[in-house]
Amino acid sequence: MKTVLFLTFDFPGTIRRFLLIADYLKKLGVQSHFVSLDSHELEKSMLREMDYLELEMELSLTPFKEIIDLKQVATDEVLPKSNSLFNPGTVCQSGSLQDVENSLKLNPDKLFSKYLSQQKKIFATYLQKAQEIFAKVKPTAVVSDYEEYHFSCACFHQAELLNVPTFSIQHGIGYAEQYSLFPMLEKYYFSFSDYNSKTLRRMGIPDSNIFQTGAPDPDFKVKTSSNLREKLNLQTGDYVVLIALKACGSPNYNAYRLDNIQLLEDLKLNFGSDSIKFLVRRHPADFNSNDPELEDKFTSSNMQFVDHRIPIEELMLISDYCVMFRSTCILECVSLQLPFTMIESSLDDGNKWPNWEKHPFFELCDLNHTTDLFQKLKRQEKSRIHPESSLAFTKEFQPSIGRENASKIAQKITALMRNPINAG
Amino acid sequence: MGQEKHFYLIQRESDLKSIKFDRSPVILPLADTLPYFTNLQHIDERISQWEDFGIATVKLSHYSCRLYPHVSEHFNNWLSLRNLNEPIYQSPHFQFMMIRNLGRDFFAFLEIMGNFFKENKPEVIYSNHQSDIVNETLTALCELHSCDKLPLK
Repeated sequence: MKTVLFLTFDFPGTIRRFLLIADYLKKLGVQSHFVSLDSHELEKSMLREMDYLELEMELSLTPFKEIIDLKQVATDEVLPKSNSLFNPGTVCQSGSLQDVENSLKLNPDKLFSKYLSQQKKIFATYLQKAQEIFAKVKPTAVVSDYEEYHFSCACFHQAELLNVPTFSIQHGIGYAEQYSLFPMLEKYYFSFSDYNSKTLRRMGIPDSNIFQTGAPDPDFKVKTSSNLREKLNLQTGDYVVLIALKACGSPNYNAYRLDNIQLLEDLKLNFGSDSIKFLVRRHPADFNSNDPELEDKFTSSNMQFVDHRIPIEELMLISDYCVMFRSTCILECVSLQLPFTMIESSLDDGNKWPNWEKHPFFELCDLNHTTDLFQKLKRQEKSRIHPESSLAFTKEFQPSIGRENASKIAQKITALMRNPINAG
Repeated sequence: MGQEKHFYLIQRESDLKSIKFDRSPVILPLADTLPYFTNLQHIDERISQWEDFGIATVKLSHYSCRLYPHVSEHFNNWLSLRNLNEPIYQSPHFQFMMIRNLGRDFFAFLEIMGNFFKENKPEVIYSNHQSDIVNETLTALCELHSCDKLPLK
């Protein structure tokens, strides 16, 4: 039996895409196994998304507790002895990091050696778990849409050792500028848009390994939002501003939390008794269903936190304006011709994102200088993004969206996967 | 900020109860793992903010994403100079994990703490950190800046 191993993180977009692909794989006689990369709640999230997508399938899943409860292993027992698989890396004699060390007059050797040894142990530990899962599941293909987890790296390594093909699916806009500096860890790439394909080529992926399929997402444009306004107690004629926050659910994102708080405090100060209704949507990567620190402090008669699992497109459909931090939700916003302002904070790296600025409707606002933005909101303008401008933007960046794209991906995976012999 | 030269780098809230502080100390929260520069100000008003001592918000992605090629070159150079040629070091998958962690855990911390020492010229650092990176970076910086490093009691 052919089996696809999906390295899954608990994010609605990822889960929906993987489920839609798995559904088509099932029709092609291929089974799917999911590994939770980051959440004890993945099974629950998957069942919820199956309900949303109206899919029925039995879930085969390795829970997160198996991935994190790992006992450290002796590295020599797990790591490869032969170097025949690997290409040597590049060597450079100078660089800004050398300057950092020099300016501090530190000899990093002692620290560096310890660090290297520690990282080797971490990798060996994950690799051993990957070996166990490969032996049990015997995957004939590995699919991922987020390469940064240690366990994902270990799985790619194991897949390469066993000659099992790896497939990358875009996360968000995918391969944006900051990520384009990374090495490519997988063999085949599904691209959603012209921009994705162009970036992948720039990163060194041959054309033969890039498949521009569009995004395997349900088409949100056909969804009705008639009773969402009622559920959120919005009246006819209310001017609704959607606030899309940054992810801040983990301590690693504490700096982003401070940005969120600054924006919400400014809004509260400037629109305390205003008739404008603010819908605050937390980032979908925040796992907890509530964020009491933010919600207790900022919920008011004109500011409500909405369930962050509601697809942002549905919230955009009932909004007049969107205020977002730098985020790929610009894609949905422009596609729906919803005017927006993007907030930039000191945390944003100037070269992190695609060149959206060249489009005429793009508005950027510094988090510390929001006066003009607030005046604009107070005017409650209703103008939309011009359809021609929206089209020009979506042509470059916005993927074609539809369930049928999952079928194209499933067929390509099936055609390229290896036979299920000696896979584990 | 003021002329304080004695800095207590505490790891957790419970340190506040268990440790005897000298007169008018500067207490700063420093974790043993990422994110090192934590925010405990809301727990006790005696705790100061890193921002007050010139430590701006940490751009971890700068080190793990934008500086990735630099860290990668640096890492390979370091390996090459020491003839460390274990196959695993050349694995692109191991390197990806290692280099991103190296950027965030190592170089970001090294540079930020280096700036703290340069700007504030501490005379005494009190710390009981266990992490190799935190402890040894503090030790090295204290030696470099003629600062005493004493255990928290």
